[in-house]
This record gives sequence, C-alpha cells and structure tokens, in this order.
Amino acid sequence: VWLAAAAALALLAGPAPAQELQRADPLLRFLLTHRQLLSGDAVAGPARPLGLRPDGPGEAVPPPGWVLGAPLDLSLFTPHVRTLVRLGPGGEAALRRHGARIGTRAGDVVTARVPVDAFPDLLLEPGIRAMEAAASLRLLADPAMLSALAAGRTGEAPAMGFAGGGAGTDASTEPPAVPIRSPAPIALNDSAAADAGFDALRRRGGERWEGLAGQGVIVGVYDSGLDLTHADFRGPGGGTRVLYAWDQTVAGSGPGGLGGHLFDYGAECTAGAIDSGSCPMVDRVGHGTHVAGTAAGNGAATGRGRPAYRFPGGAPAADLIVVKGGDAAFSGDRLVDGVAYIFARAAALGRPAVVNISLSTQEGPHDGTTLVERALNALSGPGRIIVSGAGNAGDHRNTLPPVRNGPFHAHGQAGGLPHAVRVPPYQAQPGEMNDAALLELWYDGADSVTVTVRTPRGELVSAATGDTILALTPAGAVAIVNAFDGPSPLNGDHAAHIAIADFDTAPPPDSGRWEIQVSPIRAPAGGGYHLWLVGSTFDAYLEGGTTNRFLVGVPASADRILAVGAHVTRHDWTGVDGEVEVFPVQERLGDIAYFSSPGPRRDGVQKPDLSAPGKVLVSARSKDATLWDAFPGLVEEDSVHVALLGTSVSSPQVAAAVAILLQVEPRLTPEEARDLLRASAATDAFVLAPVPGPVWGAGKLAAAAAVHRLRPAGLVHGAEPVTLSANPVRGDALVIGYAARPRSVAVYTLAAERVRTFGDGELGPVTAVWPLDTDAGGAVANGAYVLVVELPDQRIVRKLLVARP
Amino acid sequence: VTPRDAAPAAAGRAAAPSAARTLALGLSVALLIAGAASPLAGQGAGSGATTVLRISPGPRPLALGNAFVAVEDAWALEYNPAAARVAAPTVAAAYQALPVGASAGAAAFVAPAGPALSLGVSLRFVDYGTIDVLEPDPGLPVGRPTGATATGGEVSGLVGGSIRWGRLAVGVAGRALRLDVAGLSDQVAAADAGLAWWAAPGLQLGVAIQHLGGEMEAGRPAPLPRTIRGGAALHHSAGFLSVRLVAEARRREERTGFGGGLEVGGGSDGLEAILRMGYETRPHAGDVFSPFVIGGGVRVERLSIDLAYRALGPLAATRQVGLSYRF
Repeated sequence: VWLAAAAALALLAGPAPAQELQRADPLLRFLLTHRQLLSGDAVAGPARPLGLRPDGPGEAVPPPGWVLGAPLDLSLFTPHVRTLVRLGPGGEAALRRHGARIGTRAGDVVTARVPVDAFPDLLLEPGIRAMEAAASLRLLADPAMLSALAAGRTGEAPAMGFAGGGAGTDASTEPPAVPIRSPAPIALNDSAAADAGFDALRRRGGERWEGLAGQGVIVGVYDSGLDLTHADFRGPGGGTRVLYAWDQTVAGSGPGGLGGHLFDYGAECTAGAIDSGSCPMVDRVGHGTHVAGTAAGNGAATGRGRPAYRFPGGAPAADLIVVKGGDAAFSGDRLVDGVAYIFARAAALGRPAVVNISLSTQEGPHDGTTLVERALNALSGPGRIIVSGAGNAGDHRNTLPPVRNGPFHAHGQAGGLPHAVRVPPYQAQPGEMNDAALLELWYDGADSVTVTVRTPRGELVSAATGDTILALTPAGAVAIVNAFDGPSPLNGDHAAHIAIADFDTAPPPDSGRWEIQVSPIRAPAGGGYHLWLVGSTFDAYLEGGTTNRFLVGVPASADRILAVGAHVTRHDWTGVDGEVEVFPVQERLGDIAYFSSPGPRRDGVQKPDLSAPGKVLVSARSKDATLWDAFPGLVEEDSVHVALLGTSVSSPQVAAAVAILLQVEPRLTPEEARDLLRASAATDAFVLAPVPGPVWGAGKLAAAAAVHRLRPAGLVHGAEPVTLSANPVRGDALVIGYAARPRSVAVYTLAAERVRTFGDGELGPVTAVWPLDTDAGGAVANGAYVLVVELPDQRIVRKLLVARP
Repeated sequence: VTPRDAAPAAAGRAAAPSAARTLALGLSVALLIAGAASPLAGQGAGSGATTVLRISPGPRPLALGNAFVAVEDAWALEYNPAAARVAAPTVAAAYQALPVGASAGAAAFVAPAGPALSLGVSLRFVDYGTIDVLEPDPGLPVGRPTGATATGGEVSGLVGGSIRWGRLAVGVAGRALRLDVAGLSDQVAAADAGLAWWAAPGLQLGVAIQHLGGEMEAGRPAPLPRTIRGGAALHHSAGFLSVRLVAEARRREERTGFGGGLEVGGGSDGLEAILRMGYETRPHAGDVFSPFVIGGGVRVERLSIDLAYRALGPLAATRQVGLSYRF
C-alpha cells in the first residue's frame, strides 16, 4: 500500500511519462520516472520527501513489522529492480542483453532483476510484453486483526477480549489481558481436524502416523520461516522432517541453479544442516510456523505436562520444504521463486508437492491476470498444486458483538451515485506519507471516465481517462492516476489509482467523507466499474454502492490456485495459565468467519473454491516469535502451540487435503484437485445456496469425502477387495484398505476372542487404521491374529502376523 | 480318559459337609475369583502373549466348556496341576484346526508316583501357518507383495505334580514357553499352582492360578495371559450310565467368564460311548466363538477317541480330535 501510494503520488510529482511505460505497471512507472532516486548515494536523500526510510542498499533483511506503517525496504529496488516479465519471442535474450538476471522461468513469465538504467531500452524491446514490479503481499493471519479487535474499533463492539482496553487502546504497547473466562470444556483434539475430515483418514500409532497422512508427499510452505527446532516438525527418530529450507532474506549460499531456474540469493539448508543446528532460518513472526503446523505438523511437541499429539496438522506424515520470504513484507517475484524452488526440489526427489501461500494483496485487477498469478499458474501442473488463502477482507457482519471489517469494495456504473471513503478520527503520525489510503478503480478498456474526488472540505479533484492529477488541498493530498498511459498490459482494462495522503505540503487527510464520483465520458462497454479500497493506515472503509463481494486477493485469484475461505469451528482454547480463553468476537460455530474474503473474481470466475476451518486454530508456536508477547492469551496451555485465525490458517488445511490426494494420486492436476474438493465439499445450514457461491465456494472442506471421490473403490488397483499396509506388521499401526466402505472391521485372536472392533468413526472412506491396540486400550502382543472385514457383499478374512521389534 | 476312570480317585473319601453346603462354598469361591481383579492382567484379549495358552489342549475339556479346573484327567495338568491325577498312567494326544490355516496340537502324560503323588508332562504347539509377506510402501499405505512368506508359532512344555493330603491336593507346574513370529522369538518360564478338594462323594472343587512368570519379549514385551480359575465337578454313576456335571469361573485379561458342561457316558467296562455338551460365556460381546460346544467319544477298553466341535462365527469353526490310552 505504501509503495503503491508513493508510486501514484510520485508519478504526478515526477517527469512526464514516456511511451515505453505502456508495458509497465504503475509501480514500475514510478521507478522509471524516479530511477535517479534509486541508485548509489542518492538513495537516502531523495527518499526522504516520500517519507521512506531506507535501511541501505543491497539485500538487507527487512525489519520485523508489518506492511502497513513499516519502513519501505528499498533493497527491493537497488541496484536492480525486481520484476516479473512476460516474454514474447526473443524476450529472454533481450533481458540478458540488458544485464537482467533471470531467476524463475514459469511459462512465458520470468522473475528478473533488472538494472534500473536498463529499463528505457528494455521496454522498447519487442520481446518484452509486460513488466510488473514485485508486488508486496501481506500475511493472512496478522496481528492487525487482533489489534483491531483488541482496540475495539469495530463499531458497536465494546472492549474486546485480548486487550483489556476499550476503544483506542494501543495493543502493541499495552500487554493485553483476557477478561473473558469460561468454564466450558475444550476438546482434546483440535476441532478443525474432525471438521475438515482428516481424523477419518489417519491414526497415530506411537510416534508414527498411519493411513493417509501425507506420506511421500512434500508440503511446501512459503511464509515467514519456520521454527526448525519445534518438535511438531521432527520425525519419530528425532530428525527433522524439513528436507530443505531456503531463507531468501539472509546472505549465504543460495540454492543456485535448479530445475532450469536460478536461485542465487539467500541461504539454503539441507536436512542435515537443520539437524546439526547450523541452519540460520528463524521465524520471528510465528506465522509460518503456525501455518506449517496446520498443514503438516505432527503434534508431537508439548510442554507443561500436557499430553502430546493434541494439535496435529492435516498431513502429519508429509515431509516439508520451507521457504522464508520475509518477516512482514513479501514480494511477488520472490514468492514465484520460492514456489518454483519447492517444486524443483520435489521434482528432483521424484515426489509430488503442494505449496501453501498464506499471503495476499488486494492490489490488482482481481481477475487472475497479474504476472505473479500467471507465473504461479505456469508452475502448477500434475503433482504440483498451489493453495492460497482467499483473503481477510470479508465483511460478513455475523458476529456478536458486531464487527465491521470494511466494506472494501464498491461497484457501480459511470454516472451513478457517488461512493465515499470514510476516514474515521485518527491520530496522525509525524512525518510525511504515513497517513494514507489507496484505492483502485478498474473498468473496461473501451470506456473512458472521469474520476472526481471531493474532499471533506468540498474541494474537487478530477482526472479523465489518460490523465493524472495531484492536488495538495487543505484536507490532504489527492492523487488520481487514471490509466494515463493506456490500458493495462495485463488484461487490456483501464485502471485508476487514487491516493489520499499527507504528501509534500499537504496535511494528513481529514477525517470524514471523501466522496468519489465516476462519470462517463464515453462508455461503449457500459461504464461498469469496480472500486477497491486496497489499504489505509487509519481503518478507512467505503460507503455507497458497496458490496461484500470481489475480495479474493492475489494470488488466490489465479486460475490454477485453490482459493480458501474460512469458517468457524471454535471460540475457545486453554491458555498458558490453564484457564479457558474465549475469543470475544463470535459467529455461530459453523458459520463463515467474519473476515473471510468472498468472491467471485471481477471477471465472474468462481472464487473462493471452498472454505476450511480458520477461526480459531491451535497450531505450532515459534519460539522466536514476538507476536505472542503482545497477545499472551493466544498461547495454549502447553506453551508450544498457539491460537490464530485467518484464511492463513484455513488455507494450509486445504493444502493438507491436497497432500493426501497427492498421496493417493501423485499426478493429480490442480484442476482435478479443485474439482474433487469442490464436489466433495460439505454443505449445511450455513452454506447458503447457490453452491458454489461467492462466500463459501462449494462449501466446507471434507478431506475424507474427497479421497473417497478420488478412489471410490479404495486404494487398490485390481480385484483385491481388502489391502494391508504390511504383513507381518512391524510398525506401530496397520492400515486396512477396502474397495467399499465395510459394514464392520474387527480383529480376533486365533481363539476367536475379539481384540479390536472399529467404530463407525474409525472407518474412513477408503481405509481404517489399527494402531495395534485392544478395545480395552492395551497394546496387542506380538503373534497371530485374524482380521475380518465385512464388506457390503462379502466377508474377507485375513491372517495377520504382528511382529513389532 | 473316561469319567468312569477318573471317578474312583475320589470315591469313598467323602466326609462330613453336606454336598449342598460344599457346592455353595465352591460357587462362592468361584464368584469371588470371577469378581476379583486379576493380578498383572493385560488390557483386553490380545494384550497377553501367546495363543497356546488361550485354546483348549484336548477335545474333552473343549467339549465341556473348558470347565476343567476340578476334573481329574491327563489334560487337567493344563488347567489345575492339583487335579492332574489318574488311577493309572495315561497318555493323551490331540490335534486342532484353527482359523486361517493355523493349527494346534498337544500331548500329555500323567502317571501316579505313589499313593499321594502324581506327576505329569504336557507338550503343546500352535503353528500360525504362513502368510505372503507384504512390505510397506513409502507412499500409499498398501503393502507390496515380495514373493516371500513368513510364519510363526508357539511351543509350550509343562511339567507338574500333585500331592494329596486326605481330601486336599496341591499341585504345581512349571512351563517353558517359546514364541516365534516372523523372525522374532523369545522364550519365557512360567508357573501354575492349584488346589483340589474332594469335598463330598462325587463332588470335587478346584482352584488354580496360571501363567505366573515373566513377559514374552519377542520384539515388544507382553505379559502372559494370567488366569485365575475356580470350579467344581459333580460325578454320578448308576449302572451302565455315568453323568458328570462341571462348572467353572475364570478371569483373564480383565475379562470374567463362566463355563460348564455335561458329560454322559453309557456302556460296559469294555465299550462306552460318551456325549458331551459344553457352554462357555463370551466375556466380551464381540467374541465370536460359539458359547455352545459339542463333543463325544468312544472308549474301547483302554483306548479312547474323542472329538469336539465349536463354531467360531466369521472365523468358521474349530474341530479337535484326540486319543488317550490308559496303561
């Protein structure tokens, strides 16, 4: 948001645009018009008027913090500009001629670091079809949500649980308390595992997970890193389950050339380095560790005398490859590099992989045409599937107490009623460009419109299609960049960027109503448009013509990425002090989470694909994360797990479900996975028709049903109606597969005494797992047993030898 | 061994207490045993090691519902060493087909060693049969056939003796037990102890505790299926007809069970036909062996041939055949 707002403003304050800019997105245009600011010693000086605080050139590590209000990391742009480039014939050669360093090759899109000075000539090359500056993405389970709740900013909401303070409380400086207590019991197993259908697929025998638990599949996580020491990511022998870890944010030995790509930055670690303790990766935010735990943690970690295995992830037997893309700020090009790296490593191992991306931005056309999405689409394929959170921009108003989370989208026809940005009273920050709001308007490339902003004091600022304007008004600076260089190279549509900010001599934006009017000049395509408030530093929201739609962000809006909404499966957990903590803002259990971004895409394509539990989930806690210092009530009683919410935590559950589908069918395509998960998704009274719909997608994740749909006749090929995972059974569990759901499964001694009967809940769609226990809870002795599987049309009797060493 | 052979050992030694009172006392003991927590018991069927200690050694005890703790017989060594008393040296052997291609066999020899002492030995085995080996797949939980086979089995050897003082006999036995399963093996020693009491003419009571010993450690350690049992046997002969009624309570692996049986024999000294019917409760609702057992036998002079049959629900049925010879 900062960068985009700065781009919009600086475009207007800088030189006139050149013809070459037509192939560049607005951020690149900013860089090109101000490239003299971004080289050598000039970095610190010219940046000051924009309010940017560079940490220095090179590959500096961004400081901990968050996108909004965080210092801009100019290392993204000096001495090279990190871009995504869509190539035509000869495009790659052109990039090389101009000194660009190519990272990932993904179809006709590459990630490239381009020298700033090379842009003017490069953009005239016929092989360069479009260029996109590395977009900034944010985490989808972020403390801003918690802070907002803690601060009680949400309309009628009284003081919220996590802070102990009322409206205006600064949760970041005042350690919160948890005033709401409840004697309600808490389930031992996280409610999400059962809700999403994972419990029917796997079972734990000792330290091992048996059944469909992701064995042989790689779960990739692109996020804020991982606490590599956390026991949830260690196998039964104590060794790490992380095969590779690549920290893009530190200097070291990068992966290098891999799978036709070049990853020549960051530091890569092997499993051996991780086990030796020499891997530098840490997760200072905690987001990545939580996400990875939700997808593939095995739940082995515990503390404070609590039992282990209460919070396993969806694919607890999968292996992991982790890429750290940042602490708070993430860029699109490195995201593409990270995903390409995970898939390349998986391919080298001959393993299928699913990558979870719990990052998003609302910036962009919301139609899946950004180059980041185009690249990720190209990286996807058989055995290579990407899952992403839909976003946290939903505004469902279904909570008690009521919560406002937007609106952030409006829709209209040119010439219709105006919209407005409502800026609430706020405390302005000292300095420039740190009190701002940014809006994007997208409309058909055949139409021309005039965008007019009316400040709370009544000043009018207008720009027609092809025009730009910067007005320093007494109410604040207003900039409008209305498709000044023509249609977007991405999709042919027109985009207008509107910024209000404390720029130059203008004061911080006034609180109140900033009216936005879109008027037709000519509208052969009808004059329809979509307006997004893509970010603000003061909790602004839209009024007039608003909808709670079209809010699935990038990259979840990509064609081949599975977009995941979030619903509610729990409100409480046991805190570190042993008391039951209750999340104060509550929907009905089972309902959509108030923040879950609804679709569809702007072009009408259905998004999100489905929903998964996302409020509240308990998963692995990074020991290096400081977020929990401000929200200690989120830490679970065992002190090594923590509660979090967001589509960040629903997405990895779908990633886990995909991992299980890949375990069954390693060559599954993204489209097949999407179809399976959609077709098998559960519906209930909360999932409103039509299905698929814009809020829920196809419904709620039902992992076991998806597996059954994939293999309605079980896991076996051929005529064998019942399969065994091993015989003799030397592990800690036996997986019994069947071609049809059996009426009963039981194990007997040779004397026909019943040892174990499987309850309905233990009979998965295609397997049942026997952890070698008895009905009375003891462990079976080594020896011979008889397995009886009563299929609908026949009885299968098998002799088992149990020979555990 | 026929009931007529065993009966004289108890004959003529009855004393004061009435039969009803003694029977009540015996049942009380049995119920007490049944209700008591079995020491060192496992947790459910299958938690204790070995099959050989769970199945009947011969067709006669099987057909009588395994209510054999108070029956004088060569097979009694496997139930209560104090009751392993015979009038003449007796040898017995049996074979049993178990589900899924497994099988079991047993042989016992018991002989008097003086006016008060009786000694015996019993050998048993269970053959698990073979399986086609399935190796785990690192991906899908579907084992891959390797073409190899695996097998296993158990062997038990038991030596014991019974010494009698008046109407009371005390017996002890020591067992050596070996288990092999798919390349893992171990052996363990265990002991049994028991009491037999000839309470009244034709009425015998017995109580025993079995399988006291270490754990079988073929791979993972597992306790032996320690068992406490107590019961009574009532015998009556009239002319060519002989009737024996047996009852027993037992507790094993935290399960309590009851068994009983009726044995009716008819014939002369040189030829006798025997019918047996047994009933054995299923301690767990999920047990699938039939509670009813039937059997029979023919004795020709000193040689007896016995059969027993029990249905095992989805596991089909087991049939046991045995021979015994009284020297």
